[in-house]
Amino acid sequence: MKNFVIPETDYMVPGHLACPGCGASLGMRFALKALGEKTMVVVPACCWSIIAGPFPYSAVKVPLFHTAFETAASVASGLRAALDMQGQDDVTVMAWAGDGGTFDIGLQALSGAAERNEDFIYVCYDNEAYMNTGIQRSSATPEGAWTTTTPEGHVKDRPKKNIVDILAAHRIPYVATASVAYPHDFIRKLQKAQSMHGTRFIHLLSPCPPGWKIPSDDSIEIARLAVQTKLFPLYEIEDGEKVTINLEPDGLPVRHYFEKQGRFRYLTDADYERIQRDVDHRWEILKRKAEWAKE
Amino acid sequence: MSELSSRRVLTDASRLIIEAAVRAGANVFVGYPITPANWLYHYATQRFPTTLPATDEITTLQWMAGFATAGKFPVTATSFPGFALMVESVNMAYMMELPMLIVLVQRLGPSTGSATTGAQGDLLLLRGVISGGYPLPVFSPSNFEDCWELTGRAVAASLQMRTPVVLLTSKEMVMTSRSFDLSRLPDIQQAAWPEYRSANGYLPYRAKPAEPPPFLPVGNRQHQVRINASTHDASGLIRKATPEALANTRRLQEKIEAGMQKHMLFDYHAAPGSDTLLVTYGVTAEAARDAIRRLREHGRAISLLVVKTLLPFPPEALAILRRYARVLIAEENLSGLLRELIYGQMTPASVLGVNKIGKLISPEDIVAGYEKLSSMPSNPNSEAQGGKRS
Repeated sequence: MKNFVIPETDYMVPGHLACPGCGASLGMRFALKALGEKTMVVVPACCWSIIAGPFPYSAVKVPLFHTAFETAASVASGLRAALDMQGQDDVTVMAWAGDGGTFDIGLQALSGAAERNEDFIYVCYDNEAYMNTGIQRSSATPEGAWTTTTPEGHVKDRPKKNIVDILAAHRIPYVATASVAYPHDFIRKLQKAQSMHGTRFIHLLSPCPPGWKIPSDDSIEIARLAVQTKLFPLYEIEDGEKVTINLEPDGLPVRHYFEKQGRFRYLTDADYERIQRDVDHRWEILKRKAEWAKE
Repeated sequence: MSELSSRRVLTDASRLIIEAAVRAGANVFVGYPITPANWLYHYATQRFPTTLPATDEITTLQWMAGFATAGKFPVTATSFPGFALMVESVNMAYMMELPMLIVLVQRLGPSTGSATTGAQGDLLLLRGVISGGYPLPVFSPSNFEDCWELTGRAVAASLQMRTPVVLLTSKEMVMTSRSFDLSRLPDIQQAAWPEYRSANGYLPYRAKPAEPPPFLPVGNRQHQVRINASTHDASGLIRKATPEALANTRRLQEKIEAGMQKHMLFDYHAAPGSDTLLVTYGVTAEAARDAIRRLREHGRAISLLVVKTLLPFPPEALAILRRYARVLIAEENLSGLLRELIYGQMTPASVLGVNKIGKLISPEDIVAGYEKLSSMPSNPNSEAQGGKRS
C-alpha cells in the first residue's frame, strides 16, 4: 500500500441529500474517484436513489440510471451489452445498490448476471437494513439488531446472510469486501476490479447513523471497529477460490463494536460471548481458506 | 358526549387498519418495506400474532398463500411498485380461492413516481388485474371511521367468499395523524371461515352454485386438500376446457357477484332540489364533504355520493347517478379512472371531472369544478330532467 495515492478528482460533488455521517455517500465519492469519468452508475430503489439528488441538486457528474428495486444487475447487463455493441469498451458500468436491493429483492437478478459473468462492477453498500423506508430488517441485518420490524423483545435472531460466499460460489473473477474506514483498500479494490472483465462484486460496509443509532461523527470509527473486531474482515476472492486477507485485524472483542451502537442495546453478556465465539470461528475458516490458496 | 365516554387520542389510520384487521381475525402479517405503506408493517410487528419479513413482494404474496391454505388469515400492505410484483400471485390466490387482505396504499406514479406523494391512480389496474376480467373485491375507506369498519368488513368478505380482497387507500389517508375519538368506532366481530363440516368425502372445489367451496386447511387429519392455480375440476385436478372445469372457473365470478351484494357500500347525501351530484371516493371524500358544506352556505344545493365499494361497482350507486342532470367526479388522477369505470369511453357532456396529480384535491378545486359544470348543458336523458326523480 506504499505510495498509493487517492485520486484527487471528484465526480461526486457537494449538494446531495444523504444524512450527516452517511457511509454510503462517502463510499460513492471514493468509488467515482477510483473509477473515473467514464463510469455509468445504475442505482435501484435505495437511499442512493434519493441521495443522487432531487432538483436542483445533482450529486454525481457521471450518467446515472435510476431503476426499479429488483433490477440493478439486469439493467447493468443491458447497458454493458449495448456499450459493447457500440464499441465503447472503455466505459465502466457500476451497479450501486443497498443491501435490500442486493441481499433480498435483487438477488435473483444479481445471481443470473453473475452466472452469465456479465461484465460490470457491482457494489453493494450495506447499511444492514432498509434505511430509506424507515429501518426495516433485511437479510443483511446482523443478529441482535433492533429495527422497526425487529423491535424490542423480537430483535433479529438469525445471522446476517453471507453475500460474499454466495457471489464467490458463482466463480466470478472477483469478489471483495471493503469498508469506508479503509479508503485506500476500497479504491485499490475498485481499480483492480476495473482492470478485470466479467462480474466483479464488492461488499462495502456503510454505517448509517439514524439506523444504527450512532452519532454521525462516529461512522468511520464504527466502520473501523467492524474490521478490527473481525466482524467484517477485509479480504478478496478471485475466481471463486483464491482467498486473500487484506488486513490482519487487532482482534478487539466484539463488544467494542456493539456497545457503541443503539441498535444493539438489547444484547446481553451471553449474546456477546456467543457472537464472539462465532466471529472467532468464522475468522479461523477464512484464515484457513487464505492459507490453502497460498499453497 | 360525556368526558368518560370519549376516548380521544392522537392516531393515524395505519394503526386503525392494523387493529381492525386483528380484531376481525387476521393473524399473520407478511411485510416488505415500501413507502407509504411502512407504518402498517411497523404497527403489525407490534400487534399481529405473527409478522414476517419477506424478501420481495412475490415472496410476500406466495407466503400469504401458504398461510391461507393452512387456515391462517394473512394481510400485507404495499404500494403500486410492490403490487405490480404481486399480480401473478394475486391471480393465483384468486384461482385457488385463498382469502387474504392486501392494503394498497396509492402513491404518485407512473413507476416509482413519487413515493411520498399520494394519488388515486390504481383503480382501473384493479379492475383489470385478474386475467379474464373477473371481479376482485375492492373497498375504499373515505375517512378514519371507514379505515376501521371497511378493514373489518374486508376480512369478513374475504373469508366469506374465499377470495383476495383489496383495501384501496392512499398516502395521506394512512400517514396523517390526527386527534380522533376511538369511542366512535363500533365493535368488530371476528369473522368465520366457511368450514367444511360433513363427515363425507371432501372435494376441495366442490361448491354450491355461486358460492365458494367449504374450507378445510391443508394438514387436516381427515381429507386430502388439493389446491390448484390451473383450470381445475372439483377435485382440484387440472382439466382443460371441460364443462365441469369451466363451470368451476365461471363460479369464481358468480360467487363474487352474489357474495358482494351485501357489501355494496356508499354514502349518499341527497340535497333537496339539486340536479347536480358530486361523486368521489377515498382520500378525496374529505375535500368533497368540505366543498359541499361551503356550497350549501352559499345556497347552492348539491348532492354527494361517496363510493366505498369500488369493485364490483354498486348497482344502486349507478341508479343514483342516473337521477342527476349533472355529475361532477373528483379523483386524484389525470385521466378520471372512476369516470372511466362508470362511463367507459362515452362520458356524457353533462359529466365533468375534477382531476389533479401531485397534490390533494382541495375543496376549492371542487367548488371551481361545480361552477364550471353549472355553466355546461345538463343531461336531457337524466331522470331529473324527465321529472322522475323521487
